[in-house]
Amino acid sequence: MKYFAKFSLFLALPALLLISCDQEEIIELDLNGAPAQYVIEGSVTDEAKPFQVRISKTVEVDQPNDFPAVSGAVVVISDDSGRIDTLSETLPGMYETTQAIPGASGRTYTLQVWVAGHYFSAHSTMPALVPFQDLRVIPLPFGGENTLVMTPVFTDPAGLGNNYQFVQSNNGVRQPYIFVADDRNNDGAQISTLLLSPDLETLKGDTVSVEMRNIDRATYKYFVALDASNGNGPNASVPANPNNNFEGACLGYFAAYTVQRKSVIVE
Amino acid sequence: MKNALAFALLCWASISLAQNAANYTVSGTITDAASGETLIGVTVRAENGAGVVSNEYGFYSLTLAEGAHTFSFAYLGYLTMNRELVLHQNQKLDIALSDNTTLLGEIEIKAEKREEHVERALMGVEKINMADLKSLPMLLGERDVLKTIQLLPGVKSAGEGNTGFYVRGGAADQNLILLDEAPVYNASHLLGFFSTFNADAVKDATLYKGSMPPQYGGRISSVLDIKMNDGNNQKYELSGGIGLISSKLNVEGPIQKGKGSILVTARRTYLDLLLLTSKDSIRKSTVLYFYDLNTKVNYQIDSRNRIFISGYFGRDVLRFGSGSFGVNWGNATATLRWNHLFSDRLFSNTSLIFSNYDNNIAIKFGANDFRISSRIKDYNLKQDFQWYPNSRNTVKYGFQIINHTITPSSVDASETSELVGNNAAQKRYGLESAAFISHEWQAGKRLNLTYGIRISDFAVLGDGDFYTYDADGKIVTTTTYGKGEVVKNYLVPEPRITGSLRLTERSSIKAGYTRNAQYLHLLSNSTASNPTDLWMPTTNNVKAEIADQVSLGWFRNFGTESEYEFSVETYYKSMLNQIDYRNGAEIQGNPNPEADLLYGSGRAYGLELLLKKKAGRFNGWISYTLARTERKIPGINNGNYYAAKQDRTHDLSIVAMYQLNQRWQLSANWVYYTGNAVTFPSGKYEINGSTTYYYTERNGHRMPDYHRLDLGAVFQAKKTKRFESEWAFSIYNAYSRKNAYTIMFRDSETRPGTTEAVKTSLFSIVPSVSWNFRF
Repeated sequence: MKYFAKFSLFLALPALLLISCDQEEIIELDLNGAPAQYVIEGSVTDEAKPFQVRISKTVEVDQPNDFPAVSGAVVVISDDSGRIDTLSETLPGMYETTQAIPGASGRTYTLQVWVAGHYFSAHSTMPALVPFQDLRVIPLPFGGENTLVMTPVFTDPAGLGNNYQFVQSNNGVRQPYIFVADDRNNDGAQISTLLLSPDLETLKGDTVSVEMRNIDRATYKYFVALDASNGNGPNASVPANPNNNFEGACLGYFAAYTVQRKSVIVE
Repeated sequence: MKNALAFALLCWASISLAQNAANYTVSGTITDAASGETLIGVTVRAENGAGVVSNEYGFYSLTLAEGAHTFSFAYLGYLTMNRELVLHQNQKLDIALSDNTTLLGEIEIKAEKREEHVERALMGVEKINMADLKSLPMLLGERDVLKTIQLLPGVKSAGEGNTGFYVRGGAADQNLILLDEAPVYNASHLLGFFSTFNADAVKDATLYKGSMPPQYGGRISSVLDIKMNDGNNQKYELSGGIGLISSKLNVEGPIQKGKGSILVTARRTYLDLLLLTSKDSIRKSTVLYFYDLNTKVNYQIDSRNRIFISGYFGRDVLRFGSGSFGVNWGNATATLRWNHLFSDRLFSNTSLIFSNYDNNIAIKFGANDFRISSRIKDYNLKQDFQWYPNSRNTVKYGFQIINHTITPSSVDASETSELVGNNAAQKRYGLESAAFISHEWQAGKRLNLTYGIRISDFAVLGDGDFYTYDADGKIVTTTTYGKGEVVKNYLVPEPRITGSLRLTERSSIKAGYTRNAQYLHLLSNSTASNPTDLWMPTTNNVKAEIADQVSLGWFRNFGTESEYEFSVETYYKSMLNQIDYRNGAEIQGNPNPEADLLYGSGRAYGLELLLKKKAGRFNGWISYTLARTERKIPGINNGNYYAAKQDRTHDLSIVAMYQLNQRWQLSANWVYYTGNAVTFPSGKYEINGSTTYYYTERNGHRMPDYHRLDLGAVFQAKKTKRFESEWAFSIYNAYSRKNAYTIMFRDSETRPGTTEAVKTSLFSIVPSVSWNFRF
């Protein structure tokens, strides 16, 4: 039911556009340089493949989007059963596990990173898997043409605390929109979540796949905040860095999650 | 409640003690001679300097020693009337003043040589002149009270073309907006571009930026008290206007000549008709309008009793996708008022007020059919007494009780809806009550004092579940309360005092201290007013907001007729229990919004200059504000003070009106302000393959400077006794300055792999014309 909030986007945008001439202009701003920060993006999944951790740094706003890879870090992932692995750097800034630590629901994973005298660590517990029952395409009659919206369907288990993330790819291209949901408004119900974003366009004939993840609460909150601080979504707010689960000041997140996928060809 | 009654009784008891045998009272009602409308704020003065100002119902009472007196009745834009009277008993003297334009056919506004500006113990008070309102240029020609007050010092606009306003560093929800005593929760239409007040129906608008009289309370920043016309009780009159985006119609007339009248005013916009010309099919199929309906009936039962019944109903409607998506929102208020004279010196008004604001989103597609609605509903009883024991003292006292019911968004779905189920959010209940007393005292020849206290109380009532949270916003305990059970009670004494000390005949210094408390809070994350913004009552977690303000000012009149007024005011305001969202708060569809709130304090200070020429063919004002507004909230900006979003350093308005000849009146206003505080990124990084921005400091940057010139002209096309018509022209943003409405950052399309800052401006030059008539 969380999706209904996103309708308000559809409400606010056109109304503003209607009465204004809405002119855009590219401007130059002098944004003070801030010291570069470490950015860590790490995940543990229940898929049979190596876990990946990517380490990079921030750049100034007026610089090109070449985010410097951070090489030479010591990166360790361990779980609460005593398994431990030191990741190897497969590409600059990209670290992968070398031995198969299984990703399993209920397990807590720890990421530790030592780099240039800094130490960062984070924990994440992989939640129980909630079966991804169906993926439907729903035409929303807003606007002149029907808007096609992907709608994953699943049944939330009774009891609060289930959090979900969806990643949509159209024709193999990952869409840069954040979709997260929780069960505070519909605990234990069958949930159909509309993957609704004002810029997301799905056309007839597209092959669309949706990855459903069961994520922990910290990851859920991270993505809600990330979306809001980018000025997107129903919670668009004063921009701020999302809080994350790291000890040590860095950007990014570490998440353990389950993965299920479904895809459809839109007719 | 118990306090209020005890208080009232005490005041009653004191009346009998103050009677004075040798004095007699002259009292009455002051009206406009042509329409019978009561006039608010008319200065009544006796030859010996004793004076009083007519109250919000046009009533005055002045008690003087036995003997011959000369009274003058003066009001801006009206001919001053002088009456001689030998007082040897209490006497009723109703006065009808003539508008100086109607009688003499002369256009020039004459000001009487009056020194109220320096004399009265009133600070930070601005009365909006309705004549200014009619001549100033406005966006799309819509005359607007809320936009006019933004041209005054200490009042800042919430954004381009927006009716939202910030007073002395307060937030938009910290303004108490009253329409015939009924609080209006959302005073704007169409996401803030137009106000809910149809300017044609407004009689008087007074803004209190500080030193609010104790009869007002419930918001910590300002009070905007708007009174509607009562309706012509002399003859039937039809007036109206046809504008670019709206039309208005006003019908008024006597129920019984001189005794009672009825007024109906309606306004509807037809913005959607313009959309039909659009090529875009989405725009074409969109329905978008708002309307306002004001009605008012008043009747003088006898010389001691008068009743008023008034109602306001306004609504915004937006629908698109062939009716599959609709949203509507609006206010409804109803007021029943009873003026009663217990004696020539004791005026009473009892008001019963109903106020409702709701917004509804209806969505329908396939088998899905559901509605999301939220509502805030008040029942309000207010009792005011005004006692005029003698010419040097006025005492006002009374009480108020408001019952609030707040329904956060609830979902009502049809059985066939597969996407969504019913979800009734918990209603919240609160009882807000207050007792107040104030004393206006001419303490000496040079010293005037107004002091008093308001004691307000808010009881958080059940039923419902109430939570406590830990530092991260996790629920720690849940307590269930039954219906009417008191969850928590807040009692706030709000002392207020203002004094003026006359330095010379035409200059004075004034100082004041005011405390205000606020129990309802608007949670909003954007500057644009959004109908879905959530009103939140005080609870066990959300505390009463409290503001303490001290101010100091120097007032000076000059010119041969004292037609120039100059003032300097400074203020310092400290605010407690201010509310902000946590980073990453979930604002909509959140069953526990309290979990995502943070609390802290705020401070605001500033300097306001106003130079006003209030009479002559050429009149207008220059206002300048230098201000700072900061907040300190643990959890935001590392717990350091940061500039609030409404923080703006310099703010300048120049307003000029010129009567060219009998037919043409010209006007212009120019505004300039430095940018509001805003958060821009200080770096960027990549997450999930998308560019994401890195921020260092909350509101550490500034929007670009804003400036704009508007031009207006009113042409009197025809003026006879029976029929009057005029054309009003305005040009908004005359030199088409592209002011920044928002600045966003995005990946550049023209230079891939880089970031661009995109400035969006809303309006370039907007000319408009409207035609107004009256017969």
